[in-house]
This record gives sequence, structure tokens and C-alpha cells, in this order.
Amino acid sequence: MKKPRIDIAKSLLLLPSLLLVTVLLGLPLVVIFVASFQPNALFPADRVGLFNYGYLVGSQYYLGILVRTLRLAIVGALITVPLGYVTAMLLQRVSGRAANLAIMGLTFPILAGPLVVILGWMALLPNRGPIFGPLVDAGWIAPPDLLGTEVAVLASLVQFMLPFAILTLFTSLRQIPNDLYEASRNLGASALQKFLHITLPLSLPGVLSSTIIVFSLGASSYISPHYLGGAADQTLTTLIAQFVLVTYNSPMAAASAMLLIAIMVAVIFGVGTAFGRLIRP
Amino acid sequence: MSKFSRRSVIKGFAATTALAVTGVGAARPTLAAPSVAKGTVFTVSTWGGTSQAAVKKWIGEEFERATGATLAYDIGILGTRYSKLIAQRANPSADVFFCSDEALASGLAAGVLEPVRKKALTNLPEVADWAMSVKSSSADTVAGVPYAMIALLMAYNPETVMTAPTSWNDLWNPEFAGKFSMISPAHSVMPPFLQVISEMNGGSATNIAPGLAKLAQLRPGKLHVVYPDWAGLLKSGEVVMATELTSYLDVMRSQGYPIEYAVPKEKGIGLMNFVGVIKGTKNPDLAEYFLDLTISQQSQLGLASDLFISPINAKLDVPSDLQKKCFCGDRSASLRFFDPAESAKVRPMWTERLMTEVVPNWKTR
Repeated sequence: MKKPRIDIAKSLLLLPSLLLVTVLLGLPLVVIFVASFQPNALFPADRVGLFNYGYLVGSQYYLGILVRTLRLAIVGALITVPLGYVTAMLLQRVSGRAANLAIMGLTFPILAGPLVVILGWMALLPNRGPIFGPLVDAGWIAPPDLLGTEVAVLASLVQFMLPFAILTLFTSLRQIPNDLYEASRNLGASALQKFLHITLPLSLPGVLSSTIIVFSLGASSYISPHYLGGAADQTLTTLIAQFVLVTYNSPMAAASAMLLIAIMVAVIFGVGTAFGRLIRP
Repeated sequence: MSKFSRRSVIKGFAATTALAVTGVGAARPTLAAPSVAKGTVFTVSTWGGTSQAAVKKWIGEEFERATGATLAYDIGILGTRYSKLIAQRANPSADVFFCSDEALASGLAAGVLEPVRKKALTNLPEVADWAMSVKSSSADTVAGVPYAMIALLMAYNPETVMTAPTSWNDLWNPEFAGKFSMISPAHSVMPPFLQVISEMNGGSATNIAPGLAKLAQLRPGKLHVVYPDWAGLLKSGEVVMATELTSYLDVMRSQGYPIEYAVPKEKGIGLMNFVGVIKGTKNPDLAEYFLDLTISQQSQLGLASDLFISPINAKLDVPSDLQKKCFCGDRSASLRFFDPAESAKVRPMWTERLMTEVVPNWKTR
């Protein structure tokens, strides 16, 4: 079998982006990795070591934070991706100006940014806010106390992540050749059969991409848990901010950041492997 | 221009200006902008909003006029700005740093802030002794200059809380469970607060376990860093009481919020705010002049009026309306002050214990 020839000229084109990634992402990561082994106010040792990691994974409190971060990201992805899938399928059937308007509307939360989205939720969710206030005042419901709960964080995460999922899945669904649907119709396939044998398998790469994007956004989200979450319900991102901005403990912040990255890489690798088996070559 | 001659010129202007502004409310001196610092951009790291506006109005304008330098502002919350200071220690982007007394002590210990020569501060003799809470390591320098005194007190809504609180113990009153906003355990005022609660429950500055156990039984409905975090809930009636800083409470009152404050019988917690010089500043002479202006009577009166803070210039004749708001003179006896250097030392471990042993028991927003 003939070995594929490496085009050196084309490979050189990769060099700028590779350098950029190495310098701007790789080097800071190395610095953070090294810092994560340093002694600090909580561990005033005279040597480097694994004590920061040991403290984080050995404490019930910090393990709770780790589990909460994972739970929010996974549940967020489990809600967002199917919701995004259905919306992307519906969007495919809309054509012309309506489709453009729908896409513009969907991307608005991205354009506005997460802070604006969260401020909106902060205005909507209080017991006396515009949603629950009239219902509580009328005595129809008890004050729901949603602000400061994981439900509030999850709701805002889903809203913010949904456009990312929809746009990724919409692009993926549009790439499925129409000929396949025509052929299946000629062969008498039902709508369910068309979905199970054409749409779903061929859109799996899009599902994989959107799952990875949505999970990463959920796990690394800071503004939602900071503003809408409870004080006792920290996530790894709010914990990192606390170490950096409050107790000025950069080694502990670095160790927390490395844990967050490790979790994200492990989950993304797991999801990629699982989907990889399902995706047809 | 050599460093020496520039310093001399600035000293000259500082002295002239100090003489000119001796009388509070007197017309500002009409000196032409000197060229000594013309073209120099002098950066002030401070809080944003009303703080920046007041600094600009009461120190910045006079500073620019007297030196010819242009002021730039690096705005943000203290934690962010302090982290920046640490990260940029080799090449700092700002010249002076507005901060809490505890952050000043931390910054000096970390080597990112530097002491200031006493002889460069012509207004220093007018500063009240009690305001110099952060000590310098040498007799001929000061750690920085204080510019405001604020206090942590108990705030309440007089429309819904008929009997004003009288003790920190009232926070544990079941009537207020879930209905009061607590200053964040991560706030710099928490080490003194934890010490007070520990002492009230048989502990001490070296034995905080009783304080932690007592605080774990607290039932705040909300945690906050700044007043807008809970102001909306005060209006909606979901929060009726709070532990809050006086400067914020007066701002809330001026904005029409239904709020009063009470000094607990165990005393309120007094805090000093400082301006420090950033180590490695490219404009050390201008930095000293800026600090000197900050503690002048004119700047102190302006800052106190706009920021609702207690002035630290002992020679300042505080107007009666301001006296009602501030904790100047005899009223400062109702406050208890703590050693900021000690607070800075214990804060990382105490915050860690508060976050891991106390906060998980709170179901707060």
C-alpha cells in the first residue's frame, strides 16, 4: 500500500495557528500546572507537592463542588442537546426570511453575552418578580424561592447554551443529502424509519460536536452559578474565582483549575469514544 | 529632567498648594499648570462608580491642575485589582492603589506596595492617630494614607422591623431567619466579625471554633458583597435586616430605600480605607503628592460628603449634617477596631474554615 505523501508546504500553513495555540494556551497551562504544586497559606510547606490536589479531592466539601459542577454540565447537556435537535429539525423546515429571522432570534443570547442573559433571569426569578409575583400575591402558589438554587442555574445555562446546540445541529442536518430522503420515500419508508435510518445516524457527528460544546460551556460557566446559584452551592469556577479574588491563593486556584480541565478532558474523551463507535465512517 | 529636580519642583507645588487650600471651602489656588509632569499619565487603581467619581472630583482635578499630569483610572473590585497588582509586580501599570486596611497590610507584606516617606506628606500631622491602623516598618515612613473610616453595623427596615436590633445576637432571632442578608464570608470584614462572634460565645482571637459553631446556626436568606446584591430584596420585603457597611447604608438612604441602622451593644466593626503607593511606580514623586492631596482638608470634606464616609483629617471642621452621618469624634467610641495586619494573616485560613464549615449549613441565595 502506498504511503500518503506529506505536503510540506501545506503543513507549514498550520504553523501560525499551532504556534498561537502553543504560546497562548500551552504556556499558560504549563504555568498553572506548575503553580498547582506550590505551597500556600493553607499549606505553608517549604517544598512543592501534591498537597493542594490531596486537599481538594480529600474533602467532602470540595468533592461536593466537583460533583455539582459535573451534574450541572451533564444535566445541562442532556436537556439542551435534545431540545436543540428538535428545534434544528423544525428550523430546517422553515425557509427564506423566516429562517433567517429565527436564526437571528436564536443567536441573540450569544450576541448579548451571558451577563445580560443572567441579569434578565435575576429580574425574572425573585418571588416578587414579574413571573411569580402576581401568582404569589394572588395566593395561587407558595413563594418558589428559585433564586439561589441549582434549578435557576440550570435554567439559565440551558437558555444560554441552546443557540450553540441549535446552530451546530442545524448545520449538521443541512448536510444530509436530500437524495437519501427521496430514495427512502420511493422505497416506502415511514417518517420514523427515515429518522432512525437516515437523519439520526448522519447527524451524529453534529450531536457529538454540540454535546462537547454544550458540556464545556456548562462546566466552565462562571456567571450563572455566581449570580443565580446559592452561596453554599459553589462550582469549580466560582471556587477558582474565590481563591484568586478573595483569599489570593493562586496555588489552590491553579489546582482547582487543573481539576476542572482534567474532568472536562475525561468527559469529552468518554463522550467522543462512545459516539465514535456509533458514527459510521 | 532629573529625578531630584522633578521631586523638588513637585515638593514646591505641594507646599504651595497646601498653603493655598488651608482654609476649607476657600477659593482654589489659581496656579498655572506646571510642565513638570506634563505628558505623564498617572494611573489610579480604585473602585468604580461613586468612588471613582469622588476621587476624580476631589483629588484628580486638583492633582492634574497642580502637576500637569493626566490621570488615568484602573477600575474594579478590590480583589480583581489586587490580583492584578500581584500579577504585574514586575511592571506595574498603576501608581497608587485605593484599598482596605487589610489589603494594604497584605500588599506591603507581599511586596507589591511600598511605604511612603513621612516628610513628603505635608498634611500628615493633621491625620487622626486612630486612623493610622496599618503600621510601617520604619519610623520615617507610613504604610500608606488613610482616607476614610467606615463601619459594619446592623441595618434594618424600620417599616417592618418595629424594634431596632441591639446586639449581634439578634441575627439569631427566629423572627429574622431567612429574612436577613449577611455580608459574604469571603469579605475582608469577616475575620473581625468572626472574632467578635467567637468572643461572644466563649472563644477568642486564637480560638474561633465557638464562633464558627455559632455562625453555622445562623439562617441568612441572602449573602452579599455590595448593597445592590440585596437592595431589591429589601424593597420586595424578602429581606428586612442586614449586616452592612455604613457607607453603603447612607447611599441606600439617599436613594430612598427604607433603611435605618443600629450599633450593636458589642460595638460596630470599624474599618479604615487607605491609599497606598504601588511598588515600582514610575512616578514616585507624583504618587506622594497624590497621597498628600488625598488627606488634605479640602479633599477629605469632598470625599466624606460624596461617599458618606467618616473623614480622617482631625483638623477638619465637619459640618453638622455630615456629623450626623459619620462616626467622627466621640461616636467612634461605639466602634471596635482590629489590627489589619493580623486580619490579613488569618484571613486565608479563616475564610477557608467559614466556607467549608459554616456556609454549607446555610441555605442562602
